[in-house]
Parts: sequence; C-alpha cells; structure tokens
Amino acid sequence: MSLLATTSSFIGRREQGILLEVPQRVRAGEIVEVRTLLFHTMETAKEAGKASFITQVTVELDGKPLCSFDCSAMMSPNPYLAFPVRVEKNGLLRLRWVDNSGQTGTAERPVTVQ
Amino acid sequence: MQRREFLRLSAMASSLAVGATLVGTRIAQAAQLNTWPAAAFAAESLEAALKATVAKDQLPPSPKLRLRVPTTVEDPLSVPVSVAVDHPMHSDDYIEALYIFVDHNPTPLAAIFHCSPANGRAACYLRVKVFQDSAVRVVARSNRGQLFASAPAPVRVGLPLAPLLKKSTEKKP
Repeated sequence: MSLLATTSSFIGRREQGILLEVPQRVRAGEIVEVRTLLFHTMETAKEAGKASFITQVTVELDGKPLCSFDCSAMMSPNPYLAFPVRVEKNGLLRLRWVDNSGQTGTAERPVTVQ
Repeated sequence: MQRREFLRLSAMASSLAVGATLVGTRIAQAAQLNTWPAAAFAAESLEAALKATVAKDQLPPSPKLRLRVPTTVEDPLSVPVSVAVDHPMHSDDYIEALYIFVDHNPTPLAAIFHCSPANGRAACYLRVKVFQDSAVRVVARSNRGQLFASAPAPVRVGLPLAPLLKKSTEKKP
C-alpha cells in the first residue's frame, strides 16, 4: 500500500502530471475515445493521514466545456479516465485537473480531422 | 457640447459593460469550480449518497444502462468500470450526468461524470477502489430529469484492504 503510494507520487513528480491521448486519423462526425492518465496519489485520510485527491477534471474542446468528472478519494491512484468525443472539425482539446489542496495540472492536444 | 456629453456618457457606459462582463465571467468560473458536491461525496451509506445526488434512495434497474465490471479482482485499488447508456445525445434530450457508486465503500459515491451532446455518446471508463466485496452501480440522469439505474454488479475482492477497513467494520453490529 505505502509502496504503491510512494511509487505513484514518484511517477507523478517525474511525469509532470498528465498523459493525454487523442486518436489520430479522425473523420469528421466520428465519435472517438479520448484517454487520459493523471498522476496523483488519490489518498484518503485513512490511508495517508491527510486526504489528497483530485476533485475535478474538466475537459474543453475549443474553449467550450465538453465534459467533466467530479472525483473522490474512492478513485484509483493515478486515475485513468476515458470518454467519447464527437469530432466535427479541427480543434484543441484541453484537460485540467484540480485537487483538494488547490494544485492544478493542464494538458492540451490538437484534434485534427482528415 | 451635446456631442461631448454623449461621448462621455457612452465611454462610461462601455466601461461599465466591460466591468460587468468581467465580473460575470469571474462568477461563472468560480461557480464552475465550486460545484464539487462535498455533501454527496461525504455520505457514508448508499441510501444517503443516492439521496444526496438524485434525491431517491431506491431505483429500479433499467435495461438502458450497460455496466461492465470484473466479477473478481486481484487489485482492489484499481477496479475498471465501464459504462454506456443507450440514450440519444440530442441538444434537447441527452444524458447530463452519470453517478458511479460502490455500495460498501466508506463513502459509496466514487465519481460523477458530467457529459454533454458534444460527447456524442453517454459513456465513460474509469477505475475505482473497492475496499471489500461489494456491488458497483451507476445512475444516469438526463437533462429532462429522467433517472436510469443499472442493476448492481457484484465485485469480489481477492485481497481486501483489511487494515484500512478496521474502523468502518467496527461500526457495524
């Protein structure tokens, strides 16, 4: 348990917080799956003495809110999330997380239509 | 003179308008960040969590929800949950939220997925902790207020997180 937590926090520091994967070769009107891995320990108060977890993950497509996750400490350490997106045209996908201590992380990926 | 007056007034008005929109967006941003439902996430029983999120404590299962969860897991810290709802995602009729519960966790509500018609489909994948043998269930809410619940999907935990659970099991008779 503690090993897992320390390993994940180590990875978190090393990787700066986010992996975001947007499929390439997308056709207009297609629904694609976007996957993301956030590096965060996601600890409850019982596990670590002090709760530390991501509270919200928000996703924007071209500056417009697309979807969001409200999370709790009951999510796995290093949360892996996937969600569908209907792609109509080229755009910019931006993901942002906030945790319960106010720390944030942001990642951006372009979405290109063939 | 009249023209100068008009210019002065219009300048004032436009600066006011700019100020108002700035304040407006600030408030909107703050509201978006503050919507994390602390009370629902703090609920310690499934009934309380359901009440806090969808204002019902029991829901009949609907065939519209497809929930995929492994029946037995080795790693209770990372249990994959995959949900899809057979529901249109039109601009006037769409699923706006999916609530993911793990019945016997210390706090049953694990996550909420807010989606929009731009998603194309009402579906998501995530991983949750399952502290002991428990059922996972999902409730979907449409923008018209309709509720759809999945049948509870039982999960058996290979290696329970026993030390972490001491306190919560002591409470039970």
